[in-house]
Amino acid sequence: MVNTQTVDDTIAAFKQRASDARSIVHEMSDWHEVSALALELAGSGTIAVSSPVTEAWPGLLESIGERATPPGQDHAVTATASVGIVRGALGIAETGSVLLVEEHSSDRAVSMLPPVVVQLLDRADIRPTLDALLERVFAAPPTFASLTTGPSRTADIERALTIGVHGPHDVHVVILG
Amino acid sequence: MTASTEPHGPQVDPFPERYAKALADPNIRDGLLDFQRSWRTTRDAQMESLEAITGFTFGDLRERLTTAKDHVIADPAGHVARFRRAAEARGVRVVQVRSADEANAYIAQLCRERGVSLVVKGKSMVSEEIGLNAALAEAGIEAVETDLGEWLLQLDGDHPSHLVMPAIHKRRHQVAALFTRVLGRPFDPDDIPAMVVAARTELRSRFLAAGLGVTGANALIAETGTAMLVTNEGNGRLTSSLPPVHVITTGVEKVLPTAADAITQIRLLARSATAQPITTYTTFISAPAPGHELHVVIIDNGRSVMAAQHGLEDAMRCIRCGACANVCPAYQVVGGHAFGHVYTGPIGLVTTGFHHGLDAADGPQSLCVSCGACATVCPVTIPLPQQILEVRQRVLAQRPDGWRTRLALRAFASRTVVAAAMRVGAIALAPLRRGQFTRLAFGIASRYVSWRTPPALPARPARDQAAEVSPRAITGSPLAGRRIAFFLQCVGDRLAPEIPLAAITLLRAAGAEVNIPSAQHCCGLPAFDAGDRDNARRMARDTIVALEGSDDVVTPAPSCVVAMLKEYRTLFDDDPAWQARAQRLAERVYDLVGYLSGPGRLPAGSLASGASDAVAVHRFCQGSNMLDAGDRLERLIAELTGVEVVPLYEAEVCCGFGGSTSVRAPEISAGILERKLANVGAAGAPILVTDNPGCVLHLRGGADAARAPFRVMHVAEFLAARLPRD
Ligand code: SF4
Repeated sequence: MVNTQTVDDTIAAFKQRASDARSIVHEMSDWHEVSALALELAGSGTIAVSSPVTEAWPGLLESIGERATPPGQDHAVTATASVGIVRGALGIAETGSVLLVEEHSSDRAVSMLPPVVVQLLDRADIRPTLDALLERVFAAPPTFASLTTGPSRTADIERALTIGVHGPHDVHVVILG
Repeated sequence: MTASTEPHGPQVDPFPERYAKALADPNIRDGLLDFQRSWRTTRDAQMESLEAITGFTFGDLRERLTTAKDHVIADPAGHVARFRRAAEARGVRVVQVRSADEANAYIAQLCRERGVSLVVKGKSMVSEEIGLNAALAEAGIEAVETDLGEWLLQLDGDHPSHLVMPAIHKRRHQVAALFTRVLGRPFDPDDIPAMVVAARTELRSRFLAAGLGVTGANALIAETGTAMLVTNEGNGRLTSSLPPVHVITTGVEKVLPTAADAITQIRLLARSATAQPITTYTTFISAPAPGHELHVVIIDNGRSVMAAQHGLEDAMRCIRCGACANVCPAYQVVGGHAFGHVYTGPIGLVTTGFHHGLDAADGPQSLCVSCGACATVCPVTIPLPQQILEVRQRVLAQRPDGWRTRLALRAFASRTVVAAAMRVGAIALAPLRRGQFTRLAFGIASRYVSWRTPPALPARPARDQAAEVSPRAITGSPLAGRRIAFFLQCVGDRLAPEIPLAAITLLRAAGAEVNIPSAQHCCGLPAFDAGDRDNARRMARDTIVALEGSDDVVTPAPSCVVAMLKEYRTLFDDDPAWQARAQRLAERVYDLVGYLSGPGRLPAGSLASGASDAVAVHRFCQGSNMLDAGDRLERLIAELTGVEVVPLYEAEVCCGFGGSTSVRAPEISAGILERKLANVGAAGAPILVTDNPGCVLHLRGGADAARAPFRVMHVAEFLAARLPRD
């Protein structure tokens, strides 16, 4: 069972299952690499950043430069961004999911509206099973928390799996550290 | 049932029209056949890997979730109060309403007060149940569905036909035509991504403009006051986050005691619903966002009445995963518009009466073949087949012409009446007799016979021929000297005497002393199946009395064994004395295959003489689903005869006989039979062996009408033909 696995096993399982769910998994040593990735993904578009990201990595916004829009934008502005950057509060190896804890509606828009989303996750925040939610979510419930597992998808037309219906089409999970 | 007093919900066409329309549309049948097959394979693989991933089996998790849900059923008010306290402490407005009208009025009023004219909606079966869209439209408020499937149904003025995949009945060319019409530009049916992009663009503007969002909830966690919402598309997160007001419409059945229970539900829900390990988005909402509002509307609409019904309260455990529909052979033939009402599939047959009135439940419930497949996959162990029969009883009781069914079954309950009728029938139909069949030359009653040739009526029932059976011996049998009371079963006795006679031959050849109690008639299953409890009890009592006083009771009909083991328990649940007698019967009754696989196990190779043509085996569905029979028939044949048993795809899926379904809804029986015959044809064996006499007659008649290249034999006939010759 997953619980008895070593840390390395847990990370490996997380990466495997996140990829199975069609997330694109990266491992990076710091947020400088993240800003390079974001700029590459955005092309000539803008990059929306959520407030949990700026709180955890205050330098990131500046490092991205003028292409970045700071937290707290109107939904209509965020909807025009090419890339959103959000912070993962936990990674769950059991399902390859990333937990987003988003209090403000404007932060949620960053993970939902842009076609490409980058989820930043501290290596130390990857846990073996869903039971990790008991502590991180349910001990003191935040306003709004979501387990996200890969890109938005639908199979509503003849069960044909189609990626990117309402939410992002590409989800990049960056394991930091 | 005293159903919800004023039935509510969207205006759905009357059942006969829905049924006829579904039968006329091959898209439904073909699409669902594909879907059921791929779902079965992926779902089974998901459940298989569950233990390695989580440390729990499907059985462990379903037991946990069942227990958790039962706590809420035992004390709904207490759990709702707990949820309310925790949620209200964080600024959530929790309201409980009795009826659909009250729910609709609350939401319409909220829209007016906040000046909202556009509402976006996530997928919510409860909002379908209460007819929210129509109610809002009446109040001048536009409600737009945002789940892709729901949206295209809304555009087409259509309704969901599946709990999880609402538009499963629509094919790509229909969707392309719809989009072309509504969006005013051409769409290519084979470019599904382009249709999805168009939906994204159209709906994105609505998300940004809407003043209020309505979603359902997959669970309400009492312990923490949290609503859990799962979607794959992400529309649930958008609907609950972008508009300044979020309303959750839900029922008390969604309440779970603890957060740990919610994790159990996550592990079961997506695997059961879409055969995914988890859906893309699982959202936990515990408070309104800063500057926003959150309302949770908990709707009763017949639920407390249902929860108070003995035998039906378990239906309140449902997590709306749709798995029951995904294995239902009748659902595959007609889809959810006929097989259900607003709630579709097997669970819809149970709950419809409470939400939308018993009349709305009548037509759909008649389509159930009682195969029992639904209960095997339900992640909260709802005894769906029993509950559907319970609903059938209630429907029969209130139907103005219910007396006719009861009167006919009262006559059938009498052995002497049936015997006389069969004698007359056999004489009258003798001129049409051709071998095993009755050939009806003119197309009378073609709805009933065009797809299945009726059997010949034998001149003498099995009971009159049993004494003539003279067996040869099998050496080394454990049955030597064993006293068996043999139960012929009414179908075999009167319509296919060769089946019980073959079984008697076999048992006598094995050295058993086989007696045929003359007072026996019918176990009562036909009455039980028709929803006529009084006549079922009458026949059950007669059967129990007739079979008392022997070592073992053996019958060639596993359907009767299912009745004796399962149905007798509920038939006599208010009568301890009869329940005890039924229990004593249950302890010593066996179907032939069970007997020969257990206490009557004959030496390997005892029936090795005769032809060595390969056989395919159809597993009697109730045996698989209710008696855990597994592959015992295949093993028995291989062990006793050495004959090759070729694999049969979907061997355990019902053949369509399903008791009285072929009379109530012959098109369902015919459709299910077609699937079975195609599978048997593909298996390629010249002989099909199965073990329930009703299924043998049904398959034999179907194979004859379809000129299929295989013979159908009951296992008793197949084995008896291979007895050693001297
Ligand atoms: S009855 Fe069981 S299988 Fe059917 S939808 Fe409900 S939970 Fe799922």
